Amino acid sequence: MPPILGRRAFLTGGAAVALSLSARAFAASTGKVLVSLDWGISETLYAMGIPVVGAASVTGYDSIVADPPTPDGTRDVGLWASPNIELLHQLAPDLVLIQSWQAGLLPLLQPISPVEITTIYTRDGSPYARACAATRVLATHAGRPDAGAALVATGETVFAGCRAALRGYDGRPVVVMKVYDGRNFIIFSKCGLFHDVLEKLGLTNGWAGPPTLLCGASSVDLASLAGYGEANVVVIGTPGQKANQKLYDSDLWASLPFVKERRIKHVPSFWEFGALPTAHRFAGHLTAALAGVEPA
Amino acid sequence: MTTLQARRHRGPLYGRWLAAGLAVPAAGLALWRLQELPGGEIGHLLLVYSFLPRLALSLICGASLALCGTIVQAVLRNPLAEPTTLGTSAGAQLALTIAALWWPSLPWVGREAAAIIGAATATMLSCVLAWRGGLSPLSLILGGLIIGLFCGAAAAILGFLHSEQLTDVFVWSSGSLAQYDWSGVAVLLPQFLVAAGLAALLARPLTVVALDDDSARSLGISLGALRLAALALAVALAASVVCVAGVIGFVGLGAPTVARAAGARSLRTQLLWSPVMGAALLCLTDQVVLAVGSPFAALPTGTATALLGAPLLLWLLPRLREGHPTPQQTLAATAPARRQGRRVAGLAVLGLLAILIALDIGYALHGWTAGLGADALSLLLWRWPRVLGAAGAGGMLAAAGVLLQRLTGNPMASPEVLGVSSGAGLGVIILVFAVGVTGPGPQLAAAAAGSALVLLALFLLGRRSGFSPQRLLLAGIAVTTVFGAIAALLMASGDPRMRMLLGWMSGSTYLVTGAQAIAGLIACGLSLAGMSLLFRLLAIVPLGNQAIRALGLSPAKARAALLLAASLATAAGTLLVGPLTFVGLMGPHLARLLGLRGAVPQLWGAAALGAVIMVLADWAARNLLYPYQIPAGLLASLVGGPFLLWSMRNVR
Repeated sequence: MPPILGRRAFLTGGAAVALSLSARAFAASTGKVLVSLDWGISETLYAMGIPVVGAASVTGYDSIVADPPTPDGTRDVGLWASPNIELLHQLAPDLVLIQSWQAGLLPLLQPISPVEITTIYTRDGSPYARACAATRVLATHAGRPDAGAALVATGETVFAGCRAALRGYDGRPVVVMKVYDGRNFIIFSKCGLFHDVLEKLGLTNGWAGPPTLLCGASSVDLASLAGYGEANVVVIGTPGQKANQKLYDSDLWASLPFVKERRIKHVPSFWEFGALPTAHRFAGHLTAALAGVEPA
Repeated sequence: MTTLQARRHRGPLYGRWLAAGLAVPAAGLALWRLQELPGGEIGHLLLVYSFLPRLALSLICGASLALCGTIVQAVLRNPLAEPTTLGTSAGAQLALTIAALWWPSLPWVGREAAAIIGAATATMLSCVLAWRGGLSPLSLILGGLIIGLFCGAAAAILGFLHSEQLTDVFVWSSGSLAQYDWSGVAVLLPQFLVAAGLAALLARPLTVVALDDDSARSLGISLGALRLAALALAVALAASVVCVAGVIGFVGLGAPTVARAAGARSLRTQLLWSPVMGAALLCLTDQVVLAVGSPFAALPTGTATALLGAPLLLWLLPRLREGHPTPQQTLAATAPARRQGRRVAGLAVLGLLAILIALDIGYALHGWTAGLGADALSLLLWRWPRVLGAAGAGGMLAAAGVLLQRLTGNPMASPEVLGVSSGAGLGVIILVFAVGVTGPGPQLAAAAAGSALVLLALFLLGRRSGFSPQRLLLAGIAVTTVFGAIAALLMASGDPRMRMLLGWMSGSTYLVTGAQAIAGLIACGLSLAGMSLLFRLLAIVPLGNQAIRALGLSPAKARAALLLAASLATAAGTLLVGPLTFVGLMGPHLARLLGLRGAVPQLWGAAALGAVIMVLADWAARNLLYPYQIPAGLLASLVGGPFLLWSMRNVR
């Protein structure tokens, strides 16, 4: 699966014109021609049904974030860390949307169009709250303020459904982790989106340590998990699921209480820098894994 | 004679003190951590399945890497060689990257197999390349360099394009000794014991080989076979370590150096002491990392070794006597002076052509554009800073490479190795992650400050040692190792801010502004003119101290002048296109292979070639995967590597 060499990379002029027409038709009725250079912003816009003329790293988005999918005809403008400036100049957007960590691109982007900076991850506070605020701001820029409020409200409904489904949950704290290989993994804590979802669902995050990574997670040694015998452990999937087997085969892992008592749950892959749609999807899958039922 | 005897006595004794100085604190820390373990069943589990295997693994890995380093340095007669010089870990990394992207569901065992296959293939290819050169040290180093560059660049391009999918590979490449069972020890311990036994058998013939070819031949030793056997031994062991623990830098290079600095003079003593040093060094580092605890508990050992080992190396440098003779560059045919001049002029014309093509032709929204149409002209506004910036930076870095290769007599010397580029990279990383400021202006200032600091350090260090080339290179490598380790750690953290820097760090013209491009071209012209004034120095410095003195010059001052010129050009080039272009390595070699061997023709020829390489690489990088753009430096390494390979057919 070589994502960048895939079908989309070879979309040529004709298809691009067709797609940019739909974004431009949308813009003519509601507001501005938009370009999104961040996956979190892209997924938020797509979830609100707002098309963009161009988006960054489309192939990567479709394989890692995946849902909601990139609308047909969205032009791939290159990597989010280094979007193609010549192409952006030719697309002539009315507004370019970036995350705060892309501020280094400002001197290149500002000659092309105004730039709106969104901040969701800062190593403190709540990414969920900031994602809600960002959703409203993005919707307003697109000329659809109602869509922003609607997406936030949809999320609250999803969380309420999950809380209802979790009514019979055993109350154990939850440790959310992502495994890289036989020896390395990260655990999500405060200031991460997944922690906020746990709180929204009335669950306790079993890992209290402060995050060392920007996404609100820490890279830890398995030894420090030994004291968490009471917790339910939720493993977030990675593209290479089977790589986890090396960890599962190790003697120390096999002797940990939550492994022996089969309190390990698996959920699919989620991007750790996601926005509202990621939070909503994670809530659903987490509930299904913990309660053993699909959320309402 | 008495002084020599005294020295010989002092040497190993000093080594013993140093080894004890590393081992005693390591043991102390381990004991302290042991009594910190929780009691009960959990404590027992942690002791048996985590604490003990990790301790054992750190000792075995340290000793293995140090043993490999000693063997490789002896075979290649190069004190800068290390287990990965033959492309071993770059090959493993490329194979792992490909496996992770194209077969994400491959089980971990399959990935380890892929890493071993990658490491073995890369090493074998290096040896195949060196075959025509009779497996001489120089041809092996060049072959390894080319394969390593190629694999490293290919892996980095894939990493640049798919960074989000490759976090696990980045984590692996930052090296970790974490162990949750005895499987790693069970794999490595027997391999290390076998390798140590074989190394003991090889010690005698290797001692002879490490001297020079003629004395080895006169003793009836089959050079090629012996070199292959020794390298196969070292590389197999290094590849196993890489598979079990990931990339752990510095030990393979540093432990033999430390052992030599501590007085291990003969190869036999080195083969004994350097694994001892390596084991103590890695064990101490790992125990320090574990004892310091959060937030450093998560620090991969590979990173920590580089952070702690590099200063140790710098501290020991003044105690290091020139051990191995550096490889001699045999002079092949030199073109006559007039023809050299014509070739340089031809290369300059080629440079101008490349610039024109890169400015005008390119892929755009509706397909290819060229000529004087409105589309092509409107895009020119965005293109010219990148094209001219690439030309200026390529020229300066290649010219700096000529100076450094002549100054050090080492074909591996390049601006990137000097550490000045890495200083720039470190400056930017500290600005973005410690100070929390981003933006092209502050980043430029931080890069300039970083390279100036490294430059200052090089001069302070150099003044004490009479600007000994070998020490300068080792100091540069220490800085580069630290930079590489920190960059790998930040990549593994998945931090988007690091991904933003990745382009510049891989040699991209993406952020070059118009003003910077013009300043770069002016700086390029000035540095070439200034370096040409040093032509007498350039011509005689490779001939050694006596030749310099014969001209009535001080060797230290002559070297300092060349170092200053090279560093300034490196700093200016790095500010434009980042610390990892390898144009500074390729330009001088290509110029020499084109027959440009006079000091000034090689300088100008290399500069023109550097500019051509960077401009064409940047052009291809912008158009190849449009709208995706690859850093030009990576593409230059990918394309330039095989080209260098083709042109080094004659190197013996």
